[in-house]
Amino acid sequence: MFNGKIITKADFLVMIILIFLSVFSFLFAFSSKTEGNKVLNIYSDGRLYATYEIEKTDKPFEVNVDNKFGSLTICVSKEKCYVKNSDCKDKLCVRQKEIVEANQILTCIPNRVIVEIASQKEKDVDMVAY
Amino acid sequence: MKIRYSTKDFILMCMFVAVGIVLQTVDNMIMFGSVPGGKLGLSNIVTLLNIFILGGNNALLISVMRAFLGSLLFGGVSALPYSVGGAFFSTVAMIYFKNKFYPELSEIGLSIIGAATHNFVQVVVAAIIMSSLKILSYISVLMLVSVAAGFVTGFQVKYLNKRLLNSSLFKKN
Repeated sequence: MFNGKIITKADFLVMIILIFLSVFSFLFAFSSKTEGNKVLNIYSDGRLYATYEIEKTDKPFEVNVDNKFGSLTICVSKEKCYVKNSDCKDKLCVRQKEIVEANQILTCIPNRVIVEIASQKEKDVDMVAY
Repeated sequence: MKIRYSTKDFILMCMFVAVGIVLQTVDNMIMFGSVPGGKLGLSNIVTLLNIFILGGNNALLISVMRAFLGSLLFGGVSALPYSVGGAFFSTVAMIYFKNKFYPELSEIGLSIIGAATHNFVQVVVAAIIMSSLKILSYISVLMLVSVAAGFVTGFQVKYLNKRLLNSSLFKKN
């Protein structure tokens, strides 16, 4: 059954190119600065739904996101954020790993919700006078 | 335009659509990982086999039909653009590379290309539908998944193909 080569040179080349592409796009996507205040942005159906400064939250709380596609519950705390509940079919959003660091995202494709942690640069203001 | 199929080809194509839907069902049960789209892509076996057995045009028809019916059965209408878009472009990519490089690039390479195109198109469709570029960061993970999944399905096609092409059912008469 296994006479002859299983993988040809061209197959190997395709695999190498794709792995290289994967590493390259990983570096590209996660290379932006991760310093500053961490902010949690929730997008619903392409629009910004809510923003929380997660480092200033002391108690974990839950956010309900409702739109015309469905609803889901997101747990927000200082340490981690995750999707607790969703009424979508595949439940991939609940099974995704909780997000901790900046640039990480959670998505629920059927409900069109994206949750991301972004880093907000602290504004360089010396003094504010009113 | 009038397309005529022999009864045998017609029955074969219907049968392959049915087999594809069954494999898609199995596929939905054994999702690995937690990435959207981290699936084995078993129905790609049928598509790639069809490119060899029934030719490119018929394979394209079969894969789009399978994606259409399969997503209506399981994912609902909202899953339709992802499924049909991915199936269409991955089949087109596999036909193109098969015509250009086939003996050097074996079924394994073709399958990996198909899987990668499928995942890429699905991420792009998701980015368009959700109007957000952040989804594109899934590409890096999905490319690795498609190398692994494409290798597994391509390996199966490679050894199925040899046997099926020699069987009397698929001999061109």
